[in-house]
Amino acid sequence: MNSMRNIFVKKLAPESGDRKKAEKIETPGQLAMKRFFHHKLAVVATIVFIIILIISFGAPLFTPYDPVGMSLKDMHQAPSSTHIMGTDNLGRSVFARTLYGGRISLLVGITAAAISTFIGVFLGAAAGYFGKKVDMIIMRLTDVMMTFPPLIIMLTVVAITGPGLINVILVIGGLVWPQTTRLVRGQFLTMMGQEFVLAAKAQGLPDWIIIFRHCIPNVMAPLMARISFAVSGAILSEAGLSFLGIGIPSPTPTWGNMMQNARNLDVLQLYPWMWIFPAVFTLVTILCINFIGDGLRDAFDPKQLIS
Amino acid sequence: MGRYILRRLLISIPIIFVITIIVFALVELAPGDMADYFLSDESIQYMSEEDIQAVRESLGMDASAPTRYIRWLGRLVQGDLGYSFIRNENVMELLTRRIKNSVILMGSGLLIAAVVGIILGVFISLRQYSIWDNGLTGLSFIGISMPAFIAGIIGLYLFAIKIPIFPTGGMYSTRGDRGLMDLLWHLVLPAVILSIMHAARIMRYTRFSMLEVIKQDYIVTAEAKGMKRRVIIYRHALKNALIPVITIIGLSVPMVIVGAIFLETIYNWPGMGTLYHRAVLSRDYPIIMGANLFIAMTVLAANLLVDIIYAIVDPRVRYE
Amino acid sequence: MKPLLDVQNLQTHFFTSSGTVKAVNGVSISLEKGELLGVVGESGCGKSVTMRSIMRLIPSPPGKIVSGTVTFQDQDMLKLSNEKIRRIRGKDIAMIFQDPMTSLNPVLTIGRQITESLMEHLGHDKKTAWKRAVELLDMVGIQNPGNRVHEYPHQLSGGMRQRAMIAMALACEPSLLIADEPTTALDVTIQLQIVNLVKELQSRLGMSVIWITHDLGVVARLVERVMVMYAGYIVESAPVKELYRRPTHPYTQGLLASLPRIDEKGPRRLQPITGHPPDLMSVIEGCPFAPRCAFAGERCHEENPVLKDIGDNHLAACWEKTHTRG
Repeated sequence: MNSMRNIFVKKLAPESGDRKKAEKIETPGQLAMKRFFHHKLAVVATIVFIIILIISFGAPLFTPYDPVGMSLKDMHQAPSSTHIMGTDNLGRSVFARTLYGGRISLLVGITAAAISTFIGVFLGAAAGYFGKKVDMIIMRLTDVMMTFPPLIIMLTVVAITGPGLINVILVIGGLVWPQTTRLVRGQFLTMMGQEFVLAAKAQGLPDWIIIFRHCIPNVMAPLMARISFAVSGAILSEAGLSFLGIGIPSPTPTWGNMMQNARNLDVLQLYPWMWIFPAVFTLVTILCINFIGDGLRDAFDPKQLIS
Repeated sequence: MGRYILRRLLISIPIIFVITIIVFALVELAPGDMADYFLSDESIQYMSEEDIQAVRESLGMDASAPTRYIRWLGRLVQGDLGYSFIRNENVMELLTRRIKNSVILMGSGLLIAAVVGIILGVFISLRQYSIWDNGLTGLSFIGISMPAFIAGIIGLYLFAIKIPIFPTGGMYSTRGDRGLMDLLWHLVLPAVILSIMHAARIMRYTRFSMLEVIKQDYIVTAEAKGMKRRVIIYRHALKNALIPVITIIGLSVPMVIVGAIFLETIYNWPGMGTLYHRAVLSRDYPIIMGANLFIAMTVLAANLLVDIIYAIVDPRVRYE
Repeated sequence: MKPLLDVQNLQTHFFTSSGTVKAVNGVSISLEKGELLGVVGESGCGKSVTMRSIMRLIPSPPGKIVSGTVTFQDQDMLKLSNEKIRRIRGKDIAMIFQDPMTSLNPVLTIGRQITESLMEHLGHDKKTAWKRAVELLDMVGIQNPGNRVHEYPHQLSGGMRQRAMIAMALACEPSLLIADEPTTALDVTIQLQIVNLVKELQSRLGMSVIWITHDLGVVARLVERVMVMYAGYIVESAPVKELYRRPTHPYTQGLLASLPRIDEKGPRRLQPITGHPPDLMSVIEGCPFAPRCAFAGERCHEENPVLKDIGDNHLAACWEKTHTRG
């Protein structure tokens, strides 16, 4: 029954430690950094993620092979010393395609997350700051958006606009903002009653200055974690779309369209290296970003719930 | 209670309206119009401008977008979703047939996720910081980050090809009795894989929720009353802890639908997902519209159901 | 005659990662059958931990009863098996808590929460238990108990909830009721009703009551004897009238001085006690109250005073005040 009794520890025992700690004053940022580096998994994840970034964006430094150049005599080669991840059905180096594919996948992830964050913060700030009708309209819009799983609209929109890098980025970025909007709005709502906002309003500052100079900096902490989850979500969306053959088309390599090969049972069975490596890279990247996001969230707000 | 449910239903009506508008407008964005599907490049060469106009008129494409929306909505209310461009089949019939199969897959996936997630969550919450807790919490991290399509291909590779205990796809064997056992044999692998991510999420929430509830004053009251440990855990703690978990299960529904689309594609499951996927590839708009509508309605219904279940299990909501 | 409850030199510490919290430091309590005892002190003085130690409700780890004995009805409470302790809890010793809103389970009806106790400890069947639950609600003065029994805690008012809590605690007619600040969360008028209710039920059922509070005013109306606790020590113990007549420990004097009194002639300023209670994690040398005490002498900072009998059943732990009087 030990675990049941933790209540007493919280309620009765401490009170004593707090006063001591108060003597050493650290800024919230420093405290957050300290907590983040305490989160060992998050630190490891950050290092691994940086390595993935370096080998993807510095791909030509790590492989001499052309990711799109075909070589029919080298088809379906198993991993060896010349092709450490083997070759695909057109004789292209899987290693080169995985690294170059990482470029595209990460690029899509980061830019789409940037777009959705921008929209999300804009709408969330407007809803929270202006309240009333603006809030009502934006929140109903968010409610409706949330009844469509993003990937479903993405499929429809890409079916209409046609596949391609820019389309995929715009569609992903344009569809996954509702969660950010909700988060930012919630933060703004709690800020609206606070003195610093009232003081700024009393000074007669224009709304946009209050929003950008006084409020948005206070949202940054929880937003950081949200952004990392948006990046991993966008990477997955691109991979998912490309896997279904509706994302970024071949020959441009992405982790998603490389995995698409696995939909062919022969490839799945006979040439597993063609899909295992991009799958592992996707998984590791997603795990790393999620760990980083978790670390950031714990660092800035230890109380918040997992999402 | 009745009034509460009625109010929730009334709130949903305008949302349903907006959903139909979005479903319609999404396809309106498409370049060209439906007439293009009936007029191939070749046939256009032999047609006069008037002939083309006649085809457009016969399809109702000459009217303005709002008029066409109203007409579409009118047919929709009567259960008419039009005909597939490609298959020349009634979309409503096609969808109903496929949706049944999808519901089998999604329903069992969600059920497995809820049962496994809750049981494991309670189990590890009672053993906080034990090997079980650390191990399963760690694994759940991987589970949450594991997208359905990657889990799907890995599962297919491992359990249908390397160790061939499950079929590589389909819903029934091509030969044989096509009975319930055959269905289950085909269902297990995709359903379990569909459930992984959600089981992991539900487990983490249940654990968190149990640990929160166990700290509450009323648990101390129950202990001070001399209740048995079993009674405290299952009667006093679990009932409270599961209330927020219901929301999480409800929120999983849209993700289960998306996951099912991938898994149906990978496992050749003859459900709505495979139909939708092919419709997207061939731009079969009536099917896309019908499927979109169905998916949004399902999510909406899931949210509604969560609200109702909430009211049943939490007396504080019921007597609001 | 042996007392109902006999606590000797009880020490309960919490071993946390940031240090040992000495919450209870050698408390002795002797309680006769049918006696009403008040335990008074600021929050964090160890009064709740003492009571929870008696019921073995201290979470372990990190909490541990380091030394002492607790004898209840001739049983050594600290040596009993968990199962035996569980059978005493709720049956022979019952507890009511500060906030009835959070102490009652929100998803179970009042009746369910009362009957589960009856069914567990007295072996009642469902029908008898529910009948008894209605009687109990009636006994604690809840109107229309036949309907209330099917309601949930949030449907009752604060005072009603505490009455329901009392009904729940008294279900098995315990011989000892421990009330942990049961009126703190309630309005003043409701506080009086609850105090009177407990007093009336106590005389009717003949049980003993330990009433924990930080409010000397409430306790005066109810109990026969008061113990004052500070930093895990009992610093004064006396019959209630005696304590009000001649408070001896400077801390008790401070508590009384900070209490508004109706019977006073002319205006008087309420005097709060300055300073903070000590950090229970640090090593305290001398009297724990010395840093806040206006009378503290040299000896007070070096040696912790022991409880000393100063006559009329009055005990106090103070170097400065007891020798001048005793």
